[in-house]
Amino acid sequence: MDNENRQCIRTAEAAKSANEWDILYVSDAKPEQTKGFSKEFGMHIDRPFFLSSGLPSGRYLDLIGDNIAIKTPNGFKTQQWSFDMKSRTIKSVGKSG
Amino acid sequence: MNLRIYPTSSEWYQIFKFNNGNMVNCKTNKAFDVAGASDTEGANVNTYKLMNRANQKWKIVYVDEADKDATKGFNKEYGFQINKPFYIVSTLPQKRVVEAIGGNNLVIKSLRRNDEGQQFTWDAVSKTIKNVKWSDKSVTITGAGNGPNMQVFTTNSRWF
Repeated sequence: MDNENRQCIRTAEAAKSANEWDILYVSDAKPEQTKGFSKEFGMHIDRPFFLSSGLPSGRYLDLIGDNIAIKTPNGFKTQQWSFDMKSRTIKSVGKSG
Repeated sequence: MNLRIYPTSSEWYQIFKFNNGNMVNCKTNKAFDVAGASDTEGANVNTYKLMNRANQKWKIVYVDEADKDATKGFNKEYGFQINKPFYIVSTLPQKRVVEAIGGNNLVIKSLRRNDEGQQFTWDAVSKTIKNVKWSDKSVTITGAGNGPNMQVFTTNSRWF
């Protein structure tokens, strides 16, 4: 099964495509996108953004402690987020965690 | 499932894609979801089965393209002039004004025109009433909104 985190095993019985591999030398690997818009993830890379709720008040995604909630725009960087291509995650600008 | 921040591991439960106004998990396809569709201050955000309703819809507003906050004029929503110092005058007979004693508790005292501890401004960025003398502090309900007293406290823009 072609799933993230799938365990690799040793077997002679697996389907052929599951036990064939290519070697990709690091020096030959395609460089990772480091800026611009990621079509795969739908976000600009390393460009801080607010996430505005589609509910009528349009509040922003924010942090209360480490918990995520919606709050009125308030100028705090806990309302800013950034997509990090290296980790494929959305990081908080206002609080590293 | 509740949403929170946690040290970066790039496990599947930290990977989301923004697609058609939904922020969806790469494995479960569950979306950022305002709990109970509650459009209120501090409403919790979960992940939930993709329903495509308003409480799962989001708009990305890049900071460099966001509207700038107004720095002057009257704010109709909050009823204050922006950044224009004012006194808060009691309508009791002596017409005393609110003062932030020692940058902490709020009491009423006789007006002293040169005392900035008696002056307040409304800040359009944090949406709070700030004290002019203790400018990093805003009018706050004690006890995280549960206490009886009013004070000035470090600005945090929480609902209280």
